[in-house]
Amino acid sequence: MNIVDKFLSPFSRSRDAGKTAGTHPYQAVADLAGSLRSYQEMPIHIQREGLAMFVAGVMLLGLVAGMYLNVTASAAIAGREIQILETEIVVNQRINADLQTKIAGLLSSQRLAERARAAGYESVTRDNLEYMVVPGYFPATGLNLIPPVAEPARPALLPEYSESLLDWVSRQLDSASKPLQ
Amino acid sequence: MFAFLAATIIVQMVRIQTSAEASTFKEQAEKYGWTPTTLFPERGQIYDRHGYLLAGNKTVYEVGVSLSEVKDVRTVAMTMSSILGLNYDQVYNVIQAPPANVMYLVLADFVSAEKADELKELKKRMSEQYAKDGDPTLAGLGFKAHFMRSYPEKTLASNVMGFSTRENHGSYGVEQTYDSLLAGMPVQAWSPEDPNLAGELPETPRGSDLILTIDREIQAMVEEQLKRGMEETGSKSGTIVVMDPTTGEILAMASTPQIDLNDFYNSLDTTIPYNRAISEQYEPGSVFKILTMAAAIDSNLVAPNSTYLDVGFYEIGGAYIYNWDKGAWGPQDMVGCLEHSLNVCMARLADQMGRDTFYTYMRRFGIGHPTGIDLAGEASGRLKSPGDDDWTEVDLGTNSFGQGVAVTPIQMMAAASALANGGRMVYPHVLYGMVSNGYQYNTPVQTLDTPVSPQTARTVSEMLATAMENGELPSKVEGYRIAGKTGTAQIPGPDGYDPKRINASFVGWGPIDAPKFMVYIWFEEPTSHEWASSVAAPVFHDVVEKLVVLMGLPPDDVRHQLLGQ
Repeated sequence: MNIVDKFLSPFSRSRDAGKTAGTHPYQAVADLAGSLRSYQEMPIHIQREGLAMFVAGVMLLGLVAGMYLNVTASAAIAGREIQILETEIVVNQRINADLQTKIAGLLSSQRLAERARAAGYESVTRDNLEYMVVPGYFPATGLNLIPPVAEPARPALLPEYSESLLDWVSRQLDSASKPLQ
Repeated sequence: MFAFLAATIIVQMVRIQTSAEASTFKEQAEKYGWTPTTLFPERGQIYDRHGYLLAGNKTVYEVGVSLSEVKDVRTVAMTMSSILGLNYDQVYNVIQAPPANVMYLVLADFVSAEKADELKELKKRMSEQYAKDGDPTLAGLGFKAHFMRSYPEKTLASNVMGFSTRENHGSYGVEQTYDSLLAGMPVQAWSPEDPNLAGELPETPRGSDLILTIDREIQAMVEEQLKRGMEETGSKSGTIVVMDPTTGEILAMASTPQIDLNDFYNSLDTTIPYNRAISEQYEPGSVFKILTMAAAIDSNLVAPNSTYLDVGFYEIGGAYIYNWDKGAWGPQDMVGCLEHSLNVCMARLADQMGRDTFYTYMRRFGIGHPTGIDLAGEASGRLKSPGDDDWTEVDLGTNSFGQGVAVTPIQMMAAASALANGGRMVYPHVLYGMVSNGYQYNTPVQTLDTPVSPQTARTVSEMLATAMENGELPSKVEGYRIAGKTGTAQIPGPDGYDPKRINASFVGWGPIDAPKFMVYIWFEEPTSHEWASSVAAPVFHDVVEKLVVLMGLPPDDVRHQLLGQ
């Protein structure tokens, strides 16, 4: 008795019993075992063909599952990176605001006056002023807080952050089919 | 074997997905898979007219404990007590017996970044030590950063600025008036726990930035002069305002007291007016005479050289009006009337104009109405008019020289701007521009009314300048032709006017051929002198001496030479 027969023997009994007493709970397993026994009785080259087909199917499934896991993991990592970047943006905004306020404190009129006095400067008075015309000089009129240059374009979002699995596969196939440069 | 295991897992997955509890699991996943977050925008910054930051933001921390993670309550309580000055027993007890259903307890808020860094460092060191030796630990202590308003110039322009409370609400001044613009709109967002679902948080545009018309150098100078003036005159309070009379832009505004805006909760006294320049109304006295004279000239009642005989009193409504010195000044023209500040002259002009004409002009000058300045808490003043229950014929006489009428300093400046600005009365304002969504919107110049003709405005300015040149007032500034008028007004009390308690005022503008500034001075109950000519006029002189330097205004003769080149 080979191992398949050993495995099948109790189910074979059950199957026989099921014929008289109705459907047995292990009927499906018994059927599967029966198929395996039929498979063993097939010629060896047909057995090998079937085995090869089965292995190929398993490998294909494994490949798809692996690709899916890879893409999912990449998406998860990208998502976490987004969350970290969002936090960094908020922190940087805070640092900017802190630094602006700190600089303003260092350049406040009171601090500047103290530093100027300490450096030996004196307030200018009407008596030590001389006015003259400077050709071509026009004093600034009004403050404009908007920088004259246009804001740089926002960097485009990488496709990894938004594409689906099918999009990714399609992109990979496209890039693979392109000639090397 | 592997195939069997795989099949079992798949069967189990399908079974769970289709089981009776599946909907409960889905609900729980939806409930705990997303965290609600309110994103508060950064409060807009405030700049002076040259771009110096007057109000910004800084990071502070909320310090709390996650109750399930606390391992050593005593150490947490001791640290909070020693570094943040909290009560040890209170901290200990609240962590030991927290309110029901509370997972996180806030122990302190608005903790400075320095203190928070000290705590973070201590927590880190103790955590390392705890891992090695099991020493005391600050496990469970957490920090949440958020913004708090900061005023780098501290007390500077505090009367104009107002302040933002810890709840991010503007109080007084610009902070209150433009609170909705500065605060921005909070955004509610949901953050996923599942990184697969992570996306960009919604944009929370910061509040609009404001640019004020205030010039911080002029403001600092004005505050210094106000402080000196207060010390020298022994006044109860003081106010100085500098405005561009052609645009209505307030260049400086200061009144006593000023507070440190970073410490408003300790230095604010709510029983004292926050900004007297806009919120306090008082009887202005003789500065009001410029409006009466303008009305008389504009209605063609008199001309500068019109004369009358001053006999020292004038009867109106059954009462007698006297001059400030109770004297008779004999033959006087209208320039002399202003130069000597004669009450009899003014009462006579108002009487001859008639009450309808007089009060129509006063209303057109905006007396009795708020100017609409963009600062919170403006008072409207009071102008009794015929028809009011408490108005009598005598009021026509007394109102003409600024008695029995209540104005705010900013109201008087708006009215006087008509005389400095060719008859057009400008809208006083402190907002130069607003920056929002990448655009800057500037406040246009607005005219409130045109109470008198350009000719009248020029004539009255000229008369006031001549009166100042003829007199011996210390308000004169060498090299500059300036129009100005003093005002000394006794303060009314329950028993009538008290000659020992006065309000001393001065309003002046220049250079009169092309006005660039208007200065208003008001000292309440000075103790050094009893006349504005000795109290307010010298301060006006000192302010203008420094103002022309800061504004780069050459003396008149030099300016005319430069213009000719």
